[in-house]
Amino acid sequence: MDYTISSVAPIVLLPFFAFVINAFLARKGGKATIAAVFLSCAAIAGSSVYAFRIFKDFVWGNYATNYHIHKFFTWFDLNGGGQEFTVNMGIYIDNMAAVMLLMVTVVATMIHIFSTYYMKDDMHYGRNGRFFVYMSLFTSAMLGLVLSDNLFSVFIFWELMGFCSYSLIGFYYEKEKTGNANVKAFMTTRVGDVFFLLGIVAIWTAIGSVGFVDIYNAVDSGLFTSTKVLGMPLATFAGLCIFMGTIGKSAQFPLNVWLPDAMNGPTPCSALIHAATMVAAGVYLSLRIYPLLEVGELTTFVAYIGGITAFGAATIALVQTDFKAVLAFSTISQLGYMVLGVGVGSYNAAFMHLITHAIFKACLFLSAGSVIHSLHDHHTHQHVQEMPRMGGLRHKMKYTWIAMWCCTLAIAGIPFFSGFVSKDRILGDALVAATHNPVMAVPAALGFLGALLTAFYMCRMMFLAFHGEPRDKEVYDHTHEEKLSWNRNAPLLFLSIFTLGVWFSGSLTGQGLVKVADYKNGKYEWFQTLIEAPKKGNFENYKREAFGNTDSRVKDSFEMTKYDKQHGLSEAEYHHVHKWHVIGAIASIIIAFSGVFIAAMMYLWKKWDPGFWVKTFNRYYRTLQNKYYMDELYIKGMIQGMLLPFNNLLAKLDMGIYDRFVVDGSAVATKFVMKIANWFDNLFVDTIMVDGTGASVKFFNLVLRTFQSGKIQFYFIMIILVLFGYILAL
Amino acid sequence: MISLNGYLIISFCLFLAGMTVMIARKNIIAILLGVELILNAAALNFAAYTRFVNQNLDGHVMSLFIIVIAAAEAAVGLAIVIRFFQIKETIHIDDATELQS
Amino acid sequence: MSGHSNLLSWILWMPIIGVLGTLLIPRTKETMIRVWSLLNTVITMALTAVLYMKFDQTLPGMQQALTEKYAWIKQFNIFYHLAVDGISLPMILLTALLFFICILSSWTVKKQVKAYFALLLFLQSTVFGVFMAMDFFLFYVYWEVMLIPMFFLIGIWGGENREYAAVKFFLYTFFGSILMLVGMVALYFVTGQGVDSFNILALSGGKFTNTTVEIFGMVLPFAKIFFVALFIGFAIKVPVFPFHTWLPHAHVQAPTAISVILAGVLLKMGTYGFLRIAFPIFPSASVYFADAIAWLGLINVIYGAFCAMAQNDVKKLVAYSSVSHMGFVMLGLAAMTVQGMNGAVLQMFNHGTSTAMMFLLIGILYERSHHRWIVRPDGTKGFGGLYTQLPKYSIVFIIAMFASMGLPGLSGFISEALIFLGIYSKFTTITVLAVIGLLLGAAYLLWMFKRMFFGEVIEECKSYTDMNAREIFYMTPLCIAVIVFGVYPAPLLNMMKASVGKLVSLLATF
Repeated sequence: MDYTISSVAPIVLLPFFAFVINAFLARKGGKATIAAVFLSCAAIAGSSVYAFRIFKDFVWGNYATNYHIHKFFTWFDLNGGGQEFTVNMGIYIDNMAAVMLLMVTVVATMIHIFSTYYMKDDMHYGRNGRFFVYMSLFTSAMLGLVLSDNLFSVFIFWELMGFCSYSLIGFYYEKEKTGNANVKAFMTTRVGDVFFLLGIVAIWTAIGSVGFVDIYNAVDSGLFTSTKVLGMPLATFAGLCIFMGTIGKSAQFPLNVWLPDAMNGPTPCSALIHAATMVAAGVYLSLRIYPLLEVGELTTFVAYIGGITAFGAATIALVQTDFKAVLAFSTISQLGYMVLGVGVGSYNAAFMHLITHAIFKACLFLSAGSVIHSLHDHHTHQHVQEMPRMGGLRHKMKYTWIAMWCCTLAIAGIPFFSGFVSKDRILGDALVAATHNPVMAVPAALGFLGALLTAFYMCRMMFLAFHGEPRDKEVYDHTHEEKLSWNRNAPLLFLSIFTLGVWFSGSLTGQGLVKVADYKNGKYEWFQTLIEAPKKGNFENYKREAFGNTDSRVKDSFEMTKYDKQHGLSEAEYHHVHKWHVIGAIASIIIAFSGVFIAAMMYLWKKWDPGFWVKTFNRYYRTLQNKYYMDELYIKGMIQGMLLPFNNLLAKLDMGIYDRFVVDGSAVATKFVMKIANWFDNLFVDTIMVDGTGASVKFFNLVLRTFQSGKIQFYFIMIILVLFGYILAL
Repeated sequence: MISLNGYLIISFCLFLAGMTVMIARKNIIAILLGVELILNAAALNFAAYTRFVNQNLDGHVMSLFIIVIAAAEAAVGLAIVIRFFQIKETIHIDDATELQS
Repeated sequence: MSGHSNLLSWILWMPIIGVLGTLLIPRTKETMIRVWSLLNTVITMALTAVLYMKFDQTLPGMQQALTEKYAWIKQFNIFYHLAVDGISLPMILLTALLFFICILSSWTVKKQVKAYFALLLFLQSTVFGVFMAMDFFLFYVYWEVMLIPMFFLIGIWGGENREYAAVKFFLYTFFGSILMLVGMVALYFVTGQGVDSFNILALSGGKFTNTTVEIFGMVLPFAKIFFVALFIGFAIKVPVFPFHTWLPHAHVQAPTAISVILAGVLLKMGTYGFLRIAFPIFPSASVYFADAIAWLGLINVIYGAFCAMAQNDVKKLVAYSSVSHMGFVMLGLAAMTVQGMNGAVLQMFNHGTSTAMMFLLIGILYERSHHRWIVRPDGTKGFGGLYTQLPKYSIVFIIAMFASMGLPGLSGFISEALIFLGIYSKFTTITVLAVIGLLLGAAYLLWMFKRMFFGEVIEECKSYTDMNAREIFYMTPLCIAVIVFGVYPAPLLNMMKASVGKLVSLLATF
């Protein structure tokens, strides 16, 4: 496994070339578009082969925590005239990146395949191709981000993904609504992005590089605490700035408003971009800069943001009736869990939740797409997304139903499903954090409450859509029976296999078989073993000068069997942690089941009337329906209330006051001075002189005036006369 | 051999003629002709003085300059007259009253 | 020291040959005039390509092999002195490219074709003159002469309010030039009217750090006083707040091609003036005033962006966006670090391409709509659903727009990132405030795009036709430039880095 940049590059370049070629091919329609679609799918499938190879080399049978490859080249430099500055680009693959690469490529491949089904109707517009153009660019950017070895290239791919997101949300550009939604999405994430850029600039200036390895080294050497920016340690400033990027991209409170609107895009793009990968990139980033958050003492802040988001979004999801909106809010909520995980120091669980969530949420969205696409309102010729018009669909589409239930159980945190493994561990770590620091009790509590709500609203959605009697008979009758097909339900079923917990709680042995972790024999869960926060000393023997562009990987010498589960914890601490983990696990199991139970009581067995709750808590219900009025606050309050009036005022001042009065005013002032001079002249000549020197002067004046005849020949005579007079005087 | 005075008298006559034309005539072209005459008088003076007094080339050069300037002036002047005629359909000097306030 | 090559003169005078050619062609043969002008710009472009080949990228400072120096007015020690370095070369290349494109985009000009193309080519020569002249007097002459074709091009071929805009443009920039003239004359006398009194290169290097000058009986530091004079002279051209108000008027009234030249090249002459004259001649004063320049740059960025957001005329919006983007250049200059300066020069080039695209696109749209209102004064929509109606146009517009707002992968990003990197180490607070400019930059462009391109096609837009072959042809080079230099900026940076580095090293010693 000797990786060079050129041997890894195809993973990014295949989709990128597909993008370039498709950009010219896609619009032509007909066969060219079909070719474009095929090319995009083939490219991402090719990438996933590469990704699998990397995954196999790094993870499968290679149990080394800090194994990483770092290669870079000079992108451009500013050396010359006695000055030096170099910008490098490179690849940095560790276990986390390897897992992430496989997840992204596999999920993207499935979504590409599904898209060939979902976007079929747009085929004759040539739009199908355009969709795949952006999807290819997006995948390429996402993979580039995962492979990046420095924050700067992360930012580049980050923004490119933002652009793809913008384009795909605005895919149906003839709708006024999409125009609002994509501007909102881009601008909201941009708020985070500019801070991200600021953080990059701050780090770059302080330590001379933004490579992850250099950052980790600088954290170790204490550079981040000794440097001060605007009165705070650099780690706090930069960590906060970069985490702002996460808040924007991962739709955390208070920048969460864009994600629900992003559902205006085609459903597969919601699945890929606004659920599985792009929004998770924010969490990925905060994992990458985890040492910074730790040193900058930002973990409490991060945990609070995560907890608030996880709980708040879950409450909003309770009252949504739109199929996709429920999923959108659940995405925000789950991202909140990941951020909570980062905040409470649950590094590998946060990452595991990222992976498990990506898989089940992609599957959920694809299932939603499968449902929405087959439900058709024959009066408006629109797809039906409203849950009140669904019901009983399990008879019509059983494969989708199965896949979706797997994912629902996973997201609800039911044991033996992937979501349980990851979410439970985050909650357990949150409990541990709360025992150490009482302040952390709030996010932990919010996390548990959110888990209850998650189980409830997801099951509510399932019961409303698939169970019971069809509520809109007409729509139901027009729905075709679902048949097994390679591009509709095969991707769903494939993804739903990976919602099983065993894939994540198991241990991969060297031979590549999944076995349930066997702690006694030193076979631990592969996730916990392999994914570890960058720790002090991990990069000590890494020296840029020594390695340069050559192979610069570091391999730890420890063996699997010596792996110390306690991660350097003392015996007492270890038992303390273990105790609270068990408590957390039991609590979350109870909570998950009770959530499912309540949902079943309300919507499946109809023993409890949800209407009663709506009536009783009507005011809160409306607040939730209006998403806590955050949109109104931002759009009406801040943009329409403050920004636009301020702009208009400034523009009016600029052209109306400054330009008219100061600039043109200076011209007017010049004229005014001229007039004063003229007036003074008149006064002086006509009045004072005349009054002062009497009639002779007045007469002389009159004579002079008569000279101003305007007749050129008269002037000429005067000239001659004066000339003669002069000569005579001589 | 004509003396310097002869040249000066001729040039004075030319100058007077030009002046008279410029003062008396109302036709713009005629006035231009008067200007030409005055210029010629000046040129003749230069040539004469340089011949009898300085005995170098300065005056000749000056005369050449005057000829060139006279030509340029005639070109510009006539162009103005033509435009003036196109606008006013007259070349009477007293009709040029645009700049009178 | 006489030159070894007359290449610069060829580039400088080639457009003049074009002017003479157009004057010889009868007025009625309009196509012939157009083709001739186009041919001329193509030849000029080819010559600049040769210049690029001959240019030695490793040399900091002026390229000796390309320098030309002949006595022009010996009595006053004024020379015809042309040279290029890494700062002027990108500008020369940009000028050649943009004029070629402008000739193509002016194909539809109907009014007095002959005079139009003659003036356009004349303008090109004067712009080359400004970027090549190394004699202050020659520089000043070109700087001033440039105003004449601009005045007529705006004043004759402009919009409804063209006379006002043209006079305003002329007087405003003339005011700046006079201050520059004062600075030039002061330098001439303080150096004792010697052989090098007008030689920009010989004046450079901080010779006047300790010189004083007596004005109104007060003994004042020479460098600071005349740096301010030169600064205002150049700042008006950039335009730096508060000297910016001529720009929206001039842009809105100017015909498309002239807007392109104005935003693409002429604004850069201001910042070029800083890099070539104000900074090297008065390095101590530049360092002294760096804070003020940075704050002015910041005001430009923020203020321009806010004003742009309020505009309903799309061309005015882009004009204000130029104010904002040139603010970034000022920030980069004020940083006086290697990243900031390189970023500023790169931004000069990149803004030249991206804003040229924006103005060309607005011109293309204007030819179809004959108005530029996003929202008309009476509140109705001026455009709507253009994405559906004009798909090709929309794609090019997206490229231009995102390049302008600095999307990574397109050209604006690298320069803005470098500028931020440069400015941060000197002015942290300003950097923190300037990122708001990035945010607003995206906001006004996207908001404009949303209002014009999304939604249902409104009735009057239904008659618009998509870009034709000629329009696509002249947008292509800019699209390529924007993408290529966004992905791989090294060719541009390699050109400039040695010369810029030299200037930074000079400034660092003060």
